[in-house]
Amino acid sequence: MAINHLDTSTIIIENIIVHSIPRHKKGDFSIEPEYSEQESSLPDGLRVFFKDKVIQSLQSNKELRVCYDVESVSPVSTYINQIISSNGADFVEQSKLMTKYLFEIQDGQNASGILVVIFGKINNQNACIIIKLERDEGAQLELDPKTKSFNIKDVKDLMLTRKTKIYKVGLFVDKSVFKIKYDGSTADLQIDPKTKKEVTTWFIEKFLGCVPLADPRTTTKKFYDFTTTYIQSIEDPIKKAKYTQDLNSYLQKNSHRISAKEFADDYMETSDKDLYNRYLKEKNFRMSEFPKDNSFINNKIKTITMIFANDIAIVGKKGTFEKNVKLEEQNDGTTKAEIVSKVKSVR
Amino acid sequence: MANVQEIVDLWNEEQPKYENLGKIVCAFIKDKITDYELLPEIQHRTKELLSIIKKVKKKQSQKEYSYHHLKDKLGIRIICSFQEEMKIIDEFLQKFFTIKEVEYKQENLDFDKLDYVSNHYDAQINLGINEFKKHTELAGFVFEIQVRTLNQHAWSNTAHSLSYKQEKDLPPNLKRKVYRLLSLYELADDEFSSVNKALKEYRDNHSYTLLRKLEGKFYKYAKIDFDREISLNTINILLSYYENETNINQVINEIDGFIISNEQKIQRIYDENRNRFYEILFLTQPEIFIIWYMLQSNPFTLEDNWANDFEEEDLEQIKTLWGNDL
Repeated sequence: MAINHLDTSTIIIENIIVHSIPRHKKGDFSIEPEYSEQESSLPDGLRVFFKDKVIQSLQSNKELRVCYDVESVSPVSTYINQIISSNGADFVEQSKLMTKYLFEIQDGQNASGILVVIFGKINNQNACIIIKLERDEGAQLELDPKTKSFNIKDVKDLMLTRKTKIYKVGLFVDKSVFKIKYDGSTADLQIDPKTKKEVTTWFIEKFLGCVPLADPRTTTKKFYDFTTTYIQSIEDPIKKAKYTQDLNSYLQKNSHRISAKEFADDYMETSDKDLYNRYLKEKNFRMSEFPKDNSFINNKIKTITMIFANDIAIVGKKGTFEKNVKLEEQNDGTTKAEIVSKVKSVR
Repeated sequence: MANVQEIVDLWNEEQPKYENLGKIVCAFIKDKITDYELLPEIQHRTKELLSIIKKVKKKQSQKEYSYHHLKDKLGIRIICSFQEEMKIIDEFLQKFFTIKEVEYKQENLDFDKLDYVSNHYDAQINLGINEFKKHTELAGFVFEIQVRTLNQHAWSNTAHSLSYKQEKDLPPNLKRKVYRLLSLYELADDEFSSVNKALKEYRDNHSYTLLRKLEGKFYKYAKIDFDREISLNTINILLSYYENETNINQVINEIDGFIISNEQKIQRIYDENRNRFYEILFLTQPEIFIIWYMLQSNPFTLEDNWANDFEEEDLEQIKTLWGNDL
């Protein structure tokens, strides 16, 4: 039976390895990554800790389905596929190659970091999970000279202290086994104003060599269309007008990643949020973040038109409707609209 | 006459084996009976050496009898809350054990006899059952399983202390007192059963209705008992998050289907986290099913209100256990 979804509660961590990447200037090869030569031992308590951390990251609003970009120069997808197809046999070597590549593309701008590579299962099928942690210089990891591996407990301690910044996660599978269209899911929990303007992040695009599953223009249009349809189904005309204006404002905010969850949280009443969530589920549209691209909807979100039953229409420009049109519900079910302004023109 | 030394030697050799068998059978029943959404009390004991000698001697005075005829060297007792559960336990025992003989005491008891109704089984482990397969050395051992309600158990224990069984020696006025007492126990069992049935169908209190729906399911997965006061309080709070009665009725109507459709997932979560229940107290209460249901069906209703009443980390933990679809 084909499995067509990845349930994070089924994640099993089998092997884990940690490599350390020091901060360095681009092209400065006098410093090298510190590689583990074998996987770290993983007591049950720590296994649960890492599983929980991966689930929490992928459960966040930052989760994004991705595909390997055929045009990317990143070799990471090859390493991931090798780990998955070899049933984890080639795990140590491939994880070292990933680390080497990460080291090569990083420059002085990037903080020193830790790359945690996991081989395991999701829905009983092979999976490869990559966690990248950034850390302050003071937070050091020491390679055990005997085992030639890092102590995984030190990594946990780093994740729990402020010395480690928020991390990035990618989970990948063999999509043909799952009969899905995407290679994995990523979550970039780094909140960095420098990267905010990028449609995808450095971690997803440059390192993993991935692009979002769907064209952001299409996803944004779908979001707009589905949300508009949902808003139209609301009976209360005042609420309908408010949410319509809110949607337009939200789409025109200076943010490059948006989500239905954020829209609902920022603008809707709780009961409407749940109905909206249910509606989007029916439409197979996800609540989590996606890169925004308004190209296909620019014309639609510039104006709002409110047409009354008596054939009178009010047309307002973005962001001005709420400010200039006062709507009031009347006892007989009609709506009173009040506009106080000078008449500019009549056409 | 009984060769006492022979009994002593035999029992010294067999007692540890019966004790081991008792542990295996009790563990098996405790683990499996929850699949039937019950959580009865289960006890075992091996017979005291002196009781064995006395019983053999007593029986030998009436008929040919030896140590090997004793069927209750190991006794397993299953004490359930309600009479109707005895039928379910009967099905369970017939399915998983080799039953050599069964006595449904209620069926054989005359109306004027001073005894109480409980079911007795002479049983052996069934080697066809996976959990028993490796215990071939214990396959021939017969043991007794008694199934009783709490009331039957209370009666039996009290009556045992009163040694009333020699009824022919009792003067009529005392006999009458004992009959009256016994009838009270029987009536109590009947009444508890009918109240239990009525409460299951009672729809006026939503929290109570939901808890009754969930407790059997909870036993099935968690295999432990829970704190009812905490449950009712938490369910009250969770239901107060809904804006109207229709939504609450929807939860009540859909919760069974939700649990059934997520059976494997719930089972896996419990199996994986059984040894850290103390870290995740919500897992040890049946309202966890409502929280998971809400995360699936009404996530905003839950998340927008949760922090007013509970710790945010608790919800984070519950969400992590449930995971998400990527």
